[in-house]
Amino acid sequence: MPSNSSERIDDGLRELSREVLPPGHFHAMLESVEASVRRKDKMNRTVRRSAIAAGLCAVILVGLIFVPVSYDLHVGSLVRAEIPATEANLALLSAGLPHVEGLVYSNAEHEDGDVVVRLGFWGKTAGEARALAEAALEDFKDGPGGYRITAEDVVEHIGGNVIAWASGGRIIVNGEGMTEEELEQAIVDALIDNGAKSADVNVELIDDGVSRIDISVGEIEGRATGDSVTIEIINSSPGGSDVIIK
Amino acid sequence: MGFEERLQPVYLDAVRYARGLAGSEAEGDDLLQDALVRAWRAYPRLRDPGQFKFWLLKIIRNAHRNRARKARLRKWLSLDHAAEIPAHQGISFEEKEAVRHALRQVPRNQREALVLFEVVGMSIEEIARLQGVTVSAVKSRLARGRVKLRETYEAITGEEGNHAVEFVGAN
Repeated sequence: MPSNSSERIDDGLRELSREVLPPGHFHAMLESVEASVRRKDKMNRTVRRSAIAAGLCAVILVGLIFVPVSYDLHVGSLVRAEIPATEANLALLSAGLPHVEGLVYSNAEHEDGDVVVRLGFWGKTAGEARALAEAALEDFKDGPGGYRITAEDVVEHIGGNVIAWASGGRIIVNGEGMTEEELEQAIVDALIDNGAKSADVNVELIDDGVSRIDISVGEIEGRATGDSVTIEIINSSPGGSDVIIK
Repeated sequence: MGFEERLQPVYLDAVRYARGLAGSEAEGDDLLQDALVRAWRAYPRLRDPGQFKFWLLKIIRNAHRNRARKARLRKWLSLDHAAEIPAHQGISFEEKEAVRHALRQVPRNQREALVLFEVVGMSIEEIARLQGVTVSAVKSRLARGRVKLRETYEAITGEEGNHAVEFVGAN
C-alpha cells in the first residue's frame, strides 16, 4: 500500500499508462467518427450560417500605438429564445435553423419544459440580432404558446495596447493547413516583413472558420500613432485558405 | 495504407493521451472523437505517413486547446458556468481516477508534458518537438507539473504527503 501521495500518484500514473480498452472500443470509435463526419456534412448542407459557411469573420480592433488604452468593445449580441418543447417544435429544431446572417454561435438545451435556444451574433446590436433571430424562428411563432425572446448586447472590456495594423493596404498570409500556432507565427512574420519592429499575435479559434485574432505591435516604421485600422480574417481556421489583413 | 490501418497501432496511445488531457474517460473519448474527425478529413493531406502518430497527437492537442478556448468563450457569453472543477475533498477515488482528476487542474502545457511522458511514454525530445519548445523547457514543465499534480491530488483526496521536490525527466 503506498505510504504517501507521491507514491500514490506514481501508482495512478502507472495505472493510466497500462490502461486497456474494452473489446470493440476501436471499432465503436471509428463508427462514431464516420457518423459524425456524415452528420456534420449534412448540417453544413442544411444549416447555412453565413459567417461560418463562408469561412468569413471580421474582427475589428481599434487602438493606439504606444498608448495603453482601455475601452469597452461591443462585440455582438446574444439572443435567448424559450420555445415550448412540443413534438412539432422539436421536429422543427432538429431540422436546423435556416440561414441566419451574422450568427457565430448557437446552442439549444432543455430547461423546464422549454427548449432554450441561444444565438450569438458577432457585430450586431441587440435590436438587429433580435430581428434576425425572430426571422429565423418565424416557424415557431404560431405554435402552441408561441415563444419568448430576449436579446442583450455583449460588451467586452479591452485593456492594454490592443492594436491592429496593416501596411500598404494588404498583407496576405497563406494559412492553409496551419495550426493556430503556425498561423500566429505566419502573421508575426508578415507584420515584421512589412515594417513592424516586433509583434505579438494570438489566434483564438471561436468556431469552425471563425477566429479572433489579437495583435500587439510595438513599433512601426512610417506609421503615425492613433491610426485606426480594420482587420479581416478570411478562412483563418486550420485548414483554411487565406488570411487577409487590410 | 488507409486511415484505419494507420490508426489501429497508435490508437491506445491516442486514447490515453486524450483521456489524460481531458481528465476523464468520457470527456477524453469525446475529445478523441472530435480529433479523429479532423484527422480523418485531413489524412489525405498528410505528407509523411511515417509521422502519423506524431501528427495525430498534435491534432488531439490542438483539439483540446480549441475546446478549452470555446469553453472560455461560452463562459464569457454567460452560457456555461459549470466549467469549474467540482471539489471532491474527502471523497475516495481509485488511484488512477484521482490522478486523472488532479491532472485537470495542472496548467495545460505541464499537463500535456506529464501525460505524454508518464502515460504515453514519449521521450523528452519527442515531447519538445510536439510542444515546439526546448528539451530543458520540457524538463521544467515536467518538474513543475509534478509539483502541481501533487498539490491538486492532495486537495482532492484530502491527503498530506511528502513535500520534498522531486526531479522528473532526468534523461
